[in-house]
Amino acid sequence: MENDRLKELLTAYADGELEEELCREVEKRLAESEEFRQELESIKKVKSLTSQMKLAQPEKEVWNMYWNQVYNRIERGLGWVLLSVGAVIFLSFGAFHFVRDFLFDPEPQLIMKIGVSAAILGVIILFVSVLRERLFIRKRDRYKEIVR
Amino acid sequence: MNQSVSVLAEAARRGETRAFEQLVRQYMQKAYFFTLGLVGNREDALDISQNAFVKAYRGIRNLGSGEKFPSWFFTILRNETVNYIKKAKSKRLESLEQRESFLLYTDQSLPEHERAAVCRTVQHAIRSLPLEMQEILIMQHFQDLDYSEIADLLGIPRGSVASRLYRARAALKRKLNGII
Repeated sequence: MENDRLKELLTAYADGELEEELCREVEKRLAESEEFRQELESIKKVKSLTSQMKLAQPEKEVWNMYWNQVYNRIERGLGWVLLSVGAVIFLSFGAFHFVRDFLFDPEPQLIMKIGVSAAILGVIILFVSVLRERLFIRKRDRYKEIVR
Repeated sequence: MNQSVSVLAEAARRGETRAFEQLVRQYMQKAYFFTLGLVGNREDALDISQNAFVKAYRGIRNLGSGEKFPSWFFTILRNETVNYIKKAKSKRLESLEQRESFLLYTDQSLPEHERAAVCRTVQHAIRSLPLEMQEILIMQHFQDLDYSEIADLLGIPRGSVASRLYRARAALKRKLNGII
């Protein structure tokens, strides 16, 4: 248990993150124990290897555009919500009037009612299908931010 | 933690978009590189980190206090990243290691093909560790964050940073047995 605690302290010691008092405790242990010296050596090797590596930097433009892109996403999200609410109200209103003023109206012939209903249904199916496909492609398009 | 982060987060909670913009500018690099280290792909790292900011913007009114912003935001970011990794696995998407390297070897004394090979080995070794180990290694070794910053972002005590790092380094060392 004490050994584990000291090994954790050893990690902080190797990173220069240990308070002075604890540093002395670790150094005392290092002077006494070969196992600890090897442990420190092992930490240093890992640090030395990774210190020669860095994460690949993106183009500077990425940082310049970053906030704008986040803002565009926020704005578009709001736009979609408003559009969806508007569309639901508009379509409900249209459907209500279509049923009340056209389908329940005794004046037009039945065949006319079937024809118009089928055409409207067809347009809705096509619209939803195209919209779904566009959204699907957009979601997976890796180059959507590139201006063509 | 930086006092201004707390003040900015409080202002963002009140709906000030300018304050949120400042938070994005302060955390965008940390978020991007953290995600890059975990998913290994630049476009996806950009997409995931930006999505996390959008979610943070939408949910910032639920943030308890401004001081908690770093760990709260990094929880969102981590969830976004984990979801991406799960989706990528379920759809068997090509991993970054097969496409590009997110690590660059700076020591020019080695020939290029050797540098690339070492980077691939280290990337592969990190990838094979549990997520908790990966994230702390990326933060400490590749983002050069100190223990206090890591503790802030992960929402854990400073002492836990040392113990997690100890375990993560020991595991990484075992994976890299051939080269160190």
